[in-house]
Amino acid sequence: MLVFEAFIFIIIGTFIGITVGALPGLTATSTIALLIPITFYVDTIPAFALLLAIYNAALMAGSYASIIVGVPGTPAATATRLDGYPMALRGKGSEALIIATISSFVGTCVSLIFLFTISEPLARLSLFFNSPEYFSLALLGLVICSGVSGASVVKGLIGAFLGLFLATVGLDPVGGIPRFTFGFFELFEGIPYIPAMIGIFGLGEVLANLSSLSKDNNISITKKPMGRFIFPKWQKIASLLPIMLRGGLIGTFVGMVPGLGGNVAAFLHYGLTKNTSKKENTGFGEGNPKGVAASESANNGVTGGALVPMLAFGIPGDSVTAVLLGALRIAGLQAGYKLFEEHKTTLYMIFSSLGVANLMMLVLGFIFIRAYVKLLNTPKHLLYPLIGILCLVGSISVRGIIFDGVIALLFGLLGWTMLKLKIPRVTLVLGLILGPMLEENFRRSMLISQHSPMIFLEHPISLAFLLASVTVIVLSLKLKSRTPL
Amino acid sequence: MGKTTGPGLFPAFIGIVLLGLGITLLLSKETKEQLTHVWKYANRKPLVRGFPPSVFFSSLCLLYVLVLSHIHFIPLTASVYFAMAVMIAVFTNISNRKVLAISGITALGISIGIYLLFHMVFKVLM
Repeated sequence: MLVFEAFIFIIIGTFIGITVGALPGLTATSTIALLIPITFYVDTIPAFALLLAIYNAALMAGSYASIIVGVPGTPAATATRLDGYPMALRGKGSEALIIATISSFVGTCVSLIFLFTISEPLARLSLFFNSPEYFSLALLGLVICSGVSGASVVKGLIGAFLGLFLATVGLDPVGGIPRFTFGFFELFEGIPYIPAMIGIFGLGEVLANLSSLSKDNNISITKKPMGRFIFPKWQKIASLLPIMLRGGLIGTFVGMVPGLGGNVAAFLHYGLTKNTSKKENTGFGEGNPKGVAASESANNGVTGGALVPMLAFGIPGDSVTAVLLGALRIAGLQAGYKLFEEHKTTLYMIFSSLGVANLMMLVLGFIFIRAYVKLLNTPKHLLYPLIGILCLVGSISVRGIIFDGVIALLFGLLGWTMLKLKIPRVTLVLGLILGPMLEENFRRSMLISQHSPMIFLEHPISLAFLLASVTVIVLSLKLKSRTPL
Repeated sequence: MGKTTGPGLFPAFIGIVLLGLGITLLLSKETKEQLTHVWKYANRKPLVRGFPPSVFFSSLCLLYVLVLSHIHFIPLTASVYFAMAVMIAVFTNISNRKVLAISGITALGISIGIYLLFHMVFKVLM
C-alpha cells in the first residue's frame, strides 16, 4: 500500500515538477517549500517521493523554455539555451527537447549510483566528528558557498553572514535567552524556515520579474515552431551517451559542494565538452546537440550529489536540498550516521523512489512534451498573482499563523533586493541553516576547552577543514575571472 | 557562562563582520560605478518605472496577509488576485474587456481551488 501511495505521489510530483520547471518565474525550491506541510499528513516515503520527483523533473523541464523560447525555465537550464535555442530556431526544437530529456535521465542515473554507494560511508565519517569538527565543517561549507557562488566573494560573504545573523533570532541555544525577538513569541523558535524559503525564492523571484516588466512583455512567448516531432535516431543518442555519462559524473561531484548547484555543473561540463570536441568546436553555440546533452546531463547529475552531504552531515548541496533538510527534520529524521543506522530501509526506499521518479520523468516527459510547451503561453498577469497568493497561503499553512505570511513577504523583499544587488541567495539560505550548527558547536567547544580556541587546531580533522576554508578564500580571491568586490 | 560562551558574542561578531563587509562593498569601485549609472537621468526612467508594479504587488500582499483572518478567504483572495492581474495587465498594455473577464473568472476559480486545497488551515483561521 505504501509503495502504491509512493508511486501515485511520484506521478503527481513529476507532473508538478515539469510544470514548475517549464514556466519561468516558478522555482523548484519555492514549490517544494510550499509542499513541505504535506509531510505532516503523509507517510515519510511518499512525501519524500513527491518532493524528489518535483526536484528531478523541474531540473529537466527548465530546458523546455530554454530551448523553445530562449528563456531558461530554471537557472540550471541557462547553459542549455546556448545550443538548444539555435536548434529550435532551425525547426529542430523537438529533437533538442528529446535529447535534453534523455540526458537528464542519464545524469540522474549516474548520481543515483553515487547516492546509493557513497552516502553511507561518508556518513560513517561523522562518527569521528565532535563539536570542533562540526564547527569547522559548517564554516567550510559556508566559505565554499560564499567563495564560489556568484561573481563576487564579498557579496557571497555578505549573503552568508546575513544568513548567520538572521539565524541568531530566537532563543539562545545554550542559555535559552531570547535574542532579537522584539517581544514576538512567534520568533522564539527562530525565523520560521519554510516561510523564509518561500519568500526569498518564490516571492522574491516574482517581485524581481515584475520590476523588469515592460509594456510589450506580455505577448505570447511561444512564437517559434517546435518543428515536426521526430525522434532522433538511436545511433545519434548512442553517440551522445559518453557525454551524458561524463555530465552525470561532473554533476554529482559539483552537487556535493555546497552552494554550486545545477547552473555551475551545466556550464562546467558544457565548457569541458566544447574544449574537448575539437573537430566540432565551431558548432557549439549554433545548435550542436552535444551542447544540449552536456548541460542537461550535468544539471540533473546534481540531484543525487546534493543529497549526499545533506544526508551525511546535514549540510545541503544546493537550495532545494536546503529545503529538503527542513522536511527531513519535520519527519523526525536527523542527518548523520544515525539516520543510516536507524532508518536504513526508509532511506534506501527514498533513494529508490528517486530512481522511479527519474523513469517517470522520462516517460511523462516524452508523452506530454507538446502539452508542456503550450504551458509556456500562460500570460504573466495570470501567473504571477497565482504564485504570489500560493506563496503567502503556503507560508501561513506551515504553522497556521498569519505572522508567517508577513515573514514570507519580508523575505520576498529581501530576496528581491538580493537579486537586484546580485548577492547570491543560496549563501543566505546556507547561513540560516548552518548558523545554529556553527554557534552551538563553537560554544560547546569553548566550554569543553575552558575557553581556549586552540581546540579547533588541536583536532586534526577540524584543522584540516579550517585550512581548507582559508585555501578556498585565498583561491577565490586570486582567480583572474573574479573581481574581489 | 564565560567570556566566549555568552549569548551576545556570536551575534555581535557576525554583526561587526557584516557591517565591515557592507562598508567594503559600498566603497568598492563597482558600487561607485553603479551609483553613477543609476543617478544618470537617462537611466533613471526604467529604474523608477520598474518600481510601481513591484511596490503595488507587495502592498497588496501585505494587505492580504493582514486582513486574511478578518474577511472570508474566497472573496478576499479573488479580489486581491483580480487586482494584481489587472495591475499587471494595465502595465503591460493588454487590458481590455476579454482580459478583465478572464482574470475575473480565473480569480474566482483559483480562490475556490486554493480554499479546497488548504481547507484544513482555514478551519483554524476562520
